[in-house]
Amino acid sequence: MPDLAWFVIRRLFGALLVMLALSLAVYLVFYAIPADPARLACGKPCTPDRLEQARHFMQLDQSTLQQYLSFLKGVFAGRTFGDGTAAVHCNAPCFGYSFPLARPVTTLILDRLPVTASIALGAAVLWLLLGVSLGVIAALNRGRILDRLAIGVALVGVSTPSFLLGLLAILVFGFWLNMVPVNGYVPFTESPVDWAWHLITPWIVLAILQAASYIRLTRSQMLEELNLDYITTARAKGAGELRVVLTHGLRGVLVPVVTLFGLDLGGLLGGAILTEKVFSMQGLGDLLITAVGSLDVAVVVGVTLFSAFLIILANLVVDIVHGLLDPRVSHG
Amino acid sequence: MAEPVLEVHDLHVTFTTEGGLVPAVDGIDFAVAPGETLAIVGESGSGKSVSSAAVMGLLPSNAEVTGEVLLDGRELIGLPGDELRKIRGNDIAMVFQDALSALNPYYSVGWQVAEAYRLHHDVSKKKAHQRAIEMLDKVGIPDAVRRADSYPHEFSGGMRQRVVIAMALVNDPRVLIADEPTTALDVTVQAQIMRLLDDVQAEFGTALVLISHDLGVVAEVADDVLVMYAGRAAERGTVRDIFFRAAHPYALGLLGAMPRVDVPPKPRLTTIPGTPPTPGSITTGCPFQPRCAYTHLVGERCITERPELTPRPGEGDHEAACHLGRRPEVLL
Repeated sequence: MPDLAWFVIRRLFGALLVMLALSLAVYLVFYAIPADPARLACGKPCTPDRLEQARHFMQLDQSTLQQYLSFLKGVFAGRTFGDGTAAVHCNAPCFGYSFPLARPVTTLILDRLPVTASIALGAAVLWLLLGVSLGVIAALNRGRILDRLAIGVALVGVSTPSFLLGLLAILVFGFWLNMVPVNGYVPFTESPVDWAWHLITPWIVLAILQAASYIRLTRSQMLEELNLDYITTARAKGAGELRVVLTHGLRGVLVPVVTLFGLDLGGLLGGAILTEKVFSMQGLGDLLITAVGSLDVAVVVGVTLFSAFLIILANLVVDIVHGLLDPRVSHG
Repeated sequence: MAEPVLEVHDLHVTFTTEGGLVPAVDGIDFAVAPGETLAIVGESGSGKSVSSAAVMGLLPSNAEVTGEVLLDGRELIGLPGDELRKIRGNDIAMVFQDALSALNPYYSVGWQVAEAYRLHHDVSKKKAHQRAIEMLDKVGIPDAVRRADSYPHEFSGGMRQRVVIAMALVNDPRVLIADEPTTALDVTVQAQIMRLLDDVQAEFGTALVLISHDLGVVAEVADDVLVMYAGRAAERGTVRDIFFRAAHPYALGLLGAMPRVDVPPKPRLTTIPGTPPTPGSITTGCPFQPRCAYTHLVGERCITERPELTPRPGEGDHEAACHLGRRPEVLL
C-alpha cells in the first residue's frame, strides 16, 4: 500500500503542473477574445469615464500576465475587487468572480455541481451495466440474432444526437404517456424519491447514448479474450461456461472499459450541456452556456478549468483501478 | 498391458470451415493404462493436439467428433456438457505447452490451483487454498505458502509450468494429457519438468498421454508410442518397437532427424524433405508418399491405395501403415 500512496502523491503533483499549464492556456485564450466584459457591465449609455471605472474595478486594466497572476493568487489566498464600501471579496479558493451573477465562480460551480453530478453518476451506473452486459451477451451470441440486435442498439445509440433522443423521450414519456416529469430538478436532500423520479428520463437517455460505445468495446474485447489460452485452461479445469466468461473472461475486458468509463464520466461531470438544456436542469453545462452567452469570462474559465481538473482526476482514478484489476500493473 | 483407463477408438475430427470440410483427425486408436505413458508424436498439424482436445471435449463448435472415447469404459463423446464438465479437470486433466498464457494473469497462482479443486470438491475457500499450497509444495515450488499469493508473471517459465502441473493434479486425475509440456522451456528446465511428471505419475498412478515432437523426451519416459502423420496413425508400438524396429519411413525419418551424441555429428542436421500435407488435401494413396524415399520400391500402390495399419514384428501390437512390407534398410 505505501506503493499506492507514493504513486498517488506523484500523480497529484503531476496533475498540479498540468493544471497550472492548462490554466495559463485557458486564461490566455479567453482573455484574448475581442470582447469587453467591462462594456457589458457598464450598461447603456456608457460614458468613457464609467467604462474606465468598470475596467479598473474588474481589474481588466492590468496586463494579461498580471491578471493571470492575480487569478493564481486568488486561488490560494482569495481576492478583493475594488475598495471601500463597494469592495467585493472572493475567498480562497477563488477561481474568479462573476460580475453579471454577482457571485464568486467557486460558489457558482459548487451550487451547480450536485445537479450535474446527479445526472452524470446515475446515468454512468446505468450505461456501464447496460453496455457491459449487452456487450457480453453479444459476444457470447456472436453472429446470431442477439448479437445483431445489440450491435443495432449500439449503432442507433452512437448516431442519435442527445437532444433528439431527449426531446423524443420527453414527448413520449412526459407528455403522451404522462409517466414522468418533463423537467426540473429536486435536490436529493429534499426528497430522494422525487430526485430520482425527475432524473430517470435524463439518466436513461444518456445511458442509451453512452452505452453504445461500451457495447462495442465489451463485445470486441470479450471475443478476443475468449480466444486466449487461459480461457481454454478454465474450461479444461471443468469450469462452467458462465464461470469461464464472468470470472476468467470479464476481468480482462474491464481494463479497457474502465479507461473509457473514467474519461466519459470525468467529461460528463464537467457539464452535460445538451442534456441539461433539454431537461431544463441548472447544472454546470447550463452555467457554462449561459456564461458564454453573457460574456462572463470568469465563469467560462472557471468551469473549463474545473472540467479539466475532473478529467485529470478521472485519469488518476483509472490508473489506480487498473492497478487493482491487473496485478501486472501493481505487482510490476 | 494392464486394463486401460482411457481408450480411443476410430476417432475422427472434422472441422467445418469456409473452405469446406477439413478432416484434422482421420481415424486413430490408442489406449493408456494407469501408471503408463503413451507418447503421441508427429509434426505440427499432424492432429496430435486436436486429438487431445477432442478427448477433453474442448474443441470449438465447428468441429465434429465421431468415434469412441472411453474413460473406464464410459463413452465421453456425446455426453451432455454438464456431465463432461464434471470429468474435465477431475478425471482427465491437461497440462499445456505455454504456461504463461495458460495461466490467468489476473489471479494469484494459489487461487487458480484452489479454483480447480473447488470446481470438483464442495469445500471452503480456506480448505481449497490449503490444498493448493500442499499441491504447489508437492510440485517443487519453494516457499509455497508465500508464493501462492504471487501472480503468474512473477514466476519463471519452469516454475509456471510447475504451477500448471499442480493445477492439473490437484484433483488426482486418472488421466493426464500433457500437450508439449516442455517445448517453451530451457533444456535444463525441460529435464526437471519431465522428471516431475515422471515422479507424480509414479506416486499417483496417473495414466499419462504425452504429446510431443521431442523424441529424446519420448525415448526416456514413454511406454508406448503413436506416430501420427496427417491425422492418421503412421506407426504404433512400444517405445522399443519404435526406436529399434521402426517400420514406417516417416518414423524412420523422425528418428534420423534427431541429433545424437553417440554418433559422429553430420555437417547438417538430417531433415525429411518436403512439408506435411494440409488436412484434406490427400484423398487417395499414402499421405506420406510425396515425401517418401521408398516409393520406388513399391510403385503405383502408394499413390492409388491408402495403406492400413498392419502388424509388424515387435514386442506386442507393433503396427505400421506402409505398403513396404519389410523394414526399409536403406537409411541404417
